[in-house]
Amino acid sequence: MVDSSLSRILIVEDELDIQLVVRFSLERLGRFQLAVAASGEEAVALAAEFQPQLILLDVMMPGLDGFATLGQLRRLSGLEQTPIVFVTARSQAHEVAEYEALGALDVIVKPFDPIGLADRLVSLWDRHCLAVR
Amino acid sequence: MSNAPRPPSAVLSAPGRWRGLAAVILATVTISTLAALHLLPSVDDLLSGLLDGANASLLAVCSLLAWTRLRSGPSRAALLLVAFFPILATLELLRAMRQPVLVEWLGFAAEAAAEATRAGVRFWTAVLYIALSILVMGWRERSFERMRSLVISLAVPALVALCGVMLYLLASTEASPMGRLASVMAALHLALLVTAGMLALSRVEWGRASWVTRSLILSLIPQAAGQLEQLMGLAGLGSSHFVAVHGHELLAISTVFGGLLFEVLLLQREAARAQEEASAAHTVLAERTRQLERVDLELAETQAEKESALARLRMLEKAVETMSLGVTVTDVGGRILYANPADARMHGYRPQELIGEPASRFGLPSGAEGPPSGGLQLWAREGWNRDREGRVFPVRLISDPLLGPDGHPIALVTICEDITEQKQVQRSLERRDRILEAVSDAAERLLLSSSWQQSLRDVLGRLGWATEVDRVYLRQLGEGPAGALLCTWQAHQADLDDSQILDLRPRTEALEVLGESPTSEVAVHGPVRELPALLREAFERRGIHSVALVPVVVRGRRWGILSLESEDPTRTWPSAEIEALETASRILGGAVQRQHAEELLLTSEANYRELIETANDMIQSVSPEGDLLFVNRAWRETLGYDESDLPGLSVWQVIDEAQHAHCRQVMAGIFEGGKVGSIETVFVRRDGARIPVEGSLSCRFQAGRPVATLGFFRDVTERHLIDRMKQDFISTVNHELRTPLTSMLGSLGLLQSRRMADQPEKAAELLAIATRNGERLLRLINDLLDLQKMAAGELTLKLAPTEIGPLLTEAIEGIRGWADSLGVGIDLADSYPAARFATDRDRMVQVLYNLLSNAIKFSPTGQRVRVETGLHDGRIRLSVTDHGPGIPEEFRRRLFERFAQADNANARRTGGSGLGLSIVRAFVEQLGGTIRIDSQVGVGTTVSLEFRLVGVPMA
Repeated sequence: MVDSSLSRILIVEDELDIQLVVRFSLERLGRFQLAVAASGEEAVALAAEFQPQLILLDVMMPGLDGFATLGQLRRLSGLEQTPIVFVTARSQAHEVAEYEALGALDVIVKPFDPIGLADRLVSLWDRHCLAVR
Repeated sequence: MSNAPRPPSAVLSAPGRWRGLAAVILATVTISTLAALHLLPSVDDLLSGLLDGANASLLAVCSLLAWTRLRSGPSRAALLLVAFFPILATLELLRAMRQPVLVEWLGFAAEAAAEATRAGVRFWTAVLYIALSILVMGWRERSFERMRSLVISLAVPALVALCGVMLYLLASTEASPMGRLASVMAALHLALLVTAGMLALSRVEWGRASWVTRSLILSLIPQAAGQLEQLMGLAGLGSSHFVAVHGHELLAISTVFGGLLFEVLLLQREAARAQEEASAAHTVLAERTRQLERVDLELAETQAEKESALARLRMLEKAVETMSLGVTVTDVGGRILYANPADARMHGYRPQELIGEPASRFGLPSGAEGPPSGGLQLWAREGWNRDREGRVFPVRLISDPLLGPDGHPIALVTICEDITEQKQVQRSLERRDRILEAVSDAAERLLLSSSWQQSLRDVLGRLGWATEVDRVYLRQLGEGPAGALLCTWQAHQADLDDSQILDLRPRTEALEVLGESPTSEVAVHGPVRELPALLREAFERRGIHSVALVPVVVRGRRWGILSLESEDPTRTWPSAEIEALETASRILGGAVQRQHAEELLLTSEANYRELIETANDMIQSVSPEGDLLFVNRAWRETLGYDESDLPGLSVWQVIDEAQHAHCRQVMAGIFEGGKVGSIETVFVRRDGARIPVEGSLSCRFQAGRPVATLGFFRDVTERHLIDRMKQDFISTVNHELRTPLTSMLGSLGLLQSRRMADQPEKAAELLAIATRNGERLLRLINDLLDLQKMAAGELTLKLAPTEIGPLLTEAIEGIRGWADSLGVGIDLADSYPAARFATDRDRMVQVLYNLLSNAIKFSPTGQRVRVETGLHDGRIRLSVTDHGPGIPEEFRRRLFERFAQADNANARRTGGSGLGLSIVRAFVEQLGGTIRIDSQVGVGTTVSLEFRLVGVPMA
């Protein structure tokens, strides 16, 4: 069951400042329903309830890092297929390739354009929906 | 008329003549026989013809024989006689042929004429017989004159008497005149025959007469009988029968022929015997001739020998006079009988002065002396003679007694040779032999011993002893004026000590003497007085009068001098000795050079071994089969093996099994190509740990076959680690820089949008985010720069005595806001020591800030961080304790590494660059303090710093 338009997004980011920047950049449009987690554990706790359509997942986090979080999220019901977009400061090509191999829909490298972020997510989502169909 | 005279038989010896004779006879008989048969005469006529033919042939033979005989010695009588033979023969032949014809054709007249002719012929035949008889007898007697007188005295009266008888008979007979004439002629014939017979008999000694003579004389009888018969017939007194008349003739001829044949046979036998005798005589003569020749030869030889002996004697005399050896002859009393000039000269006298002197005066042996054995043979010995000046010199004497006919010695010949020079040469040769022996000994010692210095004293000793000098030195040319005296040998102990010698011989002088060329190995030798003044004085002060300086050359440079010194001023240095000494010097030089080379080699080898052994790289040598032949210390230590493990250890035990295929491939390539190949592989330590290595492999070949591979390896564990750390560092720095930049750029980007301008509180928040993250970025960059400075040693500290309190306050105030935001409290004691320590204020605050920041970061919310200070042993201690998760044991090692985090690298909390503790430790150490971390997992961590107080001396 895929919603036709993207609205529910889960943001997982331990850096509070970045968390805030991401939230502001998505809230500007006012069309998204956002949930924010400061750690992997928090994200896993939130996700089952929130049932996001797309997850923005930071890779480097204390405790559960991005990959471990991904593993746990996938075990939650309704989140088996949820597209994940990694957000990382590790910009080297081999690192990016590594993340994509893990099944990420996309990798957003920090620093990113806060204005274009929403559009980018929407277009990713549309492409994903097309692909799934 | 029927008898023919006969020449001597000697001429009839040749068989050819016999054959000629027989032919004539046969021819005549045949002609007459044919003529008689042709005319068919009566039997009487036939017989008469045959007889006349025989007579003719007999005459022809006689004529031939006489002719041959005449050629060897003609006389007038003989010529006369011979002239008749052919005439008679012709007449007889004519008679034999024409008798019947003439009778028939001419009748009586012709018969008368023939009868007259016959009478004339008979006359002449009788004359011939007489002459022949006389001739034959005279031949034998060789006295013709006597024979003639005999003929005259005897024959004339006989002839006269006969003629008288005949004439009487004729006168009394009635006959024709022609018949009377014939009768006269017959009478004359008869008279002649008788006379001849008488003469012959009177003359001939019958017993010794030859058979020819005998037969001739005997034939006279039938001849005479025939004439008588005829005469009687003519006179009519008898039967003048033809057969009777001719029978007499036949008998006479036969007698003569028989005597002739017999004589010929006898003569032939005699001739053969005479020839045999002559031959024998000839043999004897030849033998005698040879004997005579031999005797002549022997005589000549004896003469030559005599002359040669004389010449030899003269030669020997000359030789003795001119020879350089002394020769004396002494009598049995020991007095000198003869001395040659050489002997006199040898003893300083003239030869005449020595004659009569006792030989013992000169040390010479006298004739009275005998050989030691008492015999009389030659003997030789050596001794000493004295000359006029009293000088005694060595001689070699050879004496030989001269024996008289009775076998006793009558004199003594002595040859005396002055052997002074020989003795000198012999001594020199002996010395050279000793030197060569010493040299050979030296060579052996120097070659066998590992160090030439060890055997040097022995070598010099042997040389000194062999050369019979007083001192031997070996001096190495060096920096000092005299060089270094390496070894000394002295014939007399403790003559001089070495210090005395050292200053005695200036090096430059010695070098001058030895010449310019440093490679010359030629020795200088001779009496000291010929040396330069300085050197001469130096030697003479020590009593040295003769020296040999032998250079020792090592590797083309004059290395030292071997000096042999003698106190004997007459000591000479024959070239044989000098050559031996130069050889010794070369051997010594060779030993020095060899040892030098060996030392160099050993040093070089040791250097290489040390180099290899101490190299940090692992070095291994492996046989093509894989056995480890050699490994260095680094190899053993890295892989955990002892040297004793090496035998039997295969390289394949050391290489990780997963790498075997790759390694075999690389090694095969090296064996084929021999090129150096670089290789990366993994070694297995003895304890099983894998060690990544990289290195190079080369292969050593002998005769085209690989004998060993040589490998250099480096443990790249560390480097791999560093590489990874570098990678991590870059990755971390990248992340750490991007994180605050993301916040900054993100918030600034949002601020630029119009929508944010409408929300001032949000804008303010975004600005605060940007500012905060800018500061964080700055801090990070500063930290990095500090680390870099410290790593490069460029960090400058401004040290000043400072109390801890204000610093702590400053640090805590700076971080308290962040701690509060995290819900972490900070406990600080109210009081702290007033003691001061030397530190850089800003850096110290940075250290404290870092420590607090760490403690706060790892403290769970609601927990507190405690800061304590105290004094201890002149040091101030400060500790920060948190109740965080603690540091796991395995992480403590890496605690101070840059960007180190105990957790997963992705598990970061705010602000953790991983640089903090490494910066702290670097600063603390720079500031002269120590840092210590005590941690317990699940309980907490305490970081303690200690600094020495100012004014307190170091412990």
